[in-house]
Amino acid sequence: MSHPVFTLIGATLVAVSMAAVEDRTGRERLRAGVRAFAWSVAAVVGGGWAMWLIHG
Amino acid sequence: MKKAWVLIAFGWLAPGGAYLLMRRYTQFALFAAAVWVAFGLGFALHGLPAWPGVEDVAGLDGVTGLLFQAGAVGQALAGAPYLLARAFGTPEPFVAGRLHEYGTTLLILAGVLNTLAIASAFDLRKEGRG
Repeated sequence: MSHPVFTLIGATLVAVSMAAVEDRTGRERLRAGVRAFAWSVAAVVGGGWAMWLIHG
Repeated sequence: MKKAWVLIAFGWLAPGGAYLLMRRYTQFALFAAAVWVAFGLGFALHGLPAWPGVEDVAGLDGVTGLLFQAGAVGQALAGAPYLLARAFGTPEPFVAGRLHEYGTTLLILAGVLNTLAIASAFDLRKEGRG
């Protein structure tokens, strides 16, 4: 399994869980899930770039 | 309102179970799916639900040894999937799980997600919405 695929799986699982917390409507849950997914992926991509800049 | 220890115990044993006790079926289904999928995938990728023995942490610095033990605790927090894997999985040495890092990481993620489910359900209960 490649790193990007693993990242997407992890981000999906985190997004589903983050969508499930709190009292929310279905629409709000969807929005929270998409936002958590996007931030998870962005954090990994940003971290990857930072590592590349530091280590080359 | 359910007693706190019942919520925590059942929430640990059945992933997302705290929400089931509160009759919040959507949240139960989402958490149960996330935890079971994470644990199932981790197990399929040869992640190993095992406790590090004394010989496994021998020679490691204190922080690394503690991280290994914290990882094992994290896996145990997944509840039923962890117990089933321990009961029916092939016994392997702890180091085998370290070789299959993706799988072991997903097993830990399953435990963390189950803990999030318990904590968030507990929070709703505290606010009187459970």
